[in-house]
This record gives sequence, structure tokens and C-alpha cells, in this order.
Amino acid sequence: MELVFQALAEPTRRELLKRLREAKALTLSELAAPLAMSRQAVTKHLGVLEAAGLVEVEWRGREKLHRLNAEPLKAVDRWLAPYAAAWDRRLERLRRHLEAEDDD
Amino acid sequence: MTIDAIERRVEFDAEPERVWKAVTDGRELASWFPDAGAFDLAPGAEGDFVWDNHGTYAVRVEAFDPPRHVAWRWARDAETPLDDGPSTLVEFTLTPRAGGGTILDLRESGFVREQDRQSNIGGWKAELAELVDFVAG
Repeated sequence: MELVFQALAEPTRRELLKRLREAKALTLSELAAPLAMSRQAVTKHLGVLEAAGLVEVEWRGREKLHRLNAEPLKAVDRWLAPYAAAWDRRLERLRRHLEAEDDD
Repeated sequence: MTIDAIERRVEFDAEPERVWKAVTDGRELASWFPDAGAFDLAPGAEGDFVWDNHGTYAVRVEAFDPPRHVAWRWARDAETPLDDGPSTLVEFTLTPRAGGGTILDLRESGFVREQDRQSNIGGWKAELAELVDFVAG
């Protein structure tokens, strides 16, 4: 999950994810075209995204297609779940605390 | 839905002033939250929240606007000074409910490690929220 956070921390990589979300599958050229950076730089960013599991690649003939895989984001969500459960318990205790005082 | 925050909304019959006291007064806090001790929250105040079973957590108040909004940062790890380790920001926002009572919005954010968001450009949470919606959708 640390790889996911690291991947998401960089604006260019978020832009790449956004475009993949909208376009489903793109080649390196298509991904690099609107960006003011070299294909090598884009390749490096895609490598980070791939290492984090956020991007999957698939060869179609001579074309390498990149797709978004959002599954690792679910892991982030699951990771937060215990913290959320702790707040649910605390807020329930706060409710009981406030209601107990009504009875005094 | 955002990716690195927990958000909860609860409603109480008690008025905002009463709820405010419960979420900022040290003795009141200790009766529902840290079971072994807290301190009175005030602008810039620093102190500890203490649990019998979990230890002592450093806390620093970062916003204090009675009876509407209080925000404090707390250390993720027990027995660790705030600036020596990861921390998250907890915010309580109280809104009067029409016809009486209080709406409390709880938000805890900052679970992503600080060093992982060195390029914290505005709007990235919105982008992530879109991604999460995409996952859910």
C-alpha cells in the first residue's frame, strides 16, 4: 500500500490515472502526447504506477496498451476501516454520555 | 468519499453548546473518549489523551471556534511526540439542527504519510475521490 500512496503522491501520475480512467486503454504515445515531457519520463511514471498495481499493460499486436486497475485503492479503503469503526464506537459513547446527562 | 479521510455524521438531541462542551472539556472528553485522561481543549493547547490499555497520545489543538469547529492533531503512535512521527487531524464541526439538536460532522484525515505527499497540489483529493467513485461504480 505504501507503493500506492507513493504512486498517487505525484501530480503527473494522477493525471495519467485520470486519463486512463476516462479512456480505458491508451498507448504510451497517446498518454505522452498532451504532457510537456519526454516519453522516457512518462515511461518512468507508468513504471511506478505499474509497480503499485494501479496500471496494467497488455500487448495488442505491436501496441502496448495501458489500463487502470483500481483494485489497490480498495485495499486503502479496507486499511482505513478499523479507524472508522473506532470512531463509530466513540461517537456512540458520546451519544450515551449526552443522553445520560438528560436523565440527571 | 475521499481516500485518506474518515467522515462520519451523527445527530444529537442536545444543543450545540452542550455538545461543544462534551467534545472540548477535558473531564467530559474523558467520560466518553480517552478513558484515563484528557485536557481542556483551547486555542493552541497541547496535552495528552490517555487510555489505560493503549497508552498516552500527544494532542495539539489546531483550530478552536466555539461552538462550531474544533480541530486537533494527534500522534498515531503512543508515547511519541507529535512532531516525531505520523499524525492525523481530527475535526468536529457542529451545526444546529432545525427544530433543535445538533449535527456533528467528524472527519479524521491525513492517514497518508506526510513524506508521501510532498507534492500536495491543490485538488488532488478531488481527483482521488473520482477514482474511488470509479472503483465503487
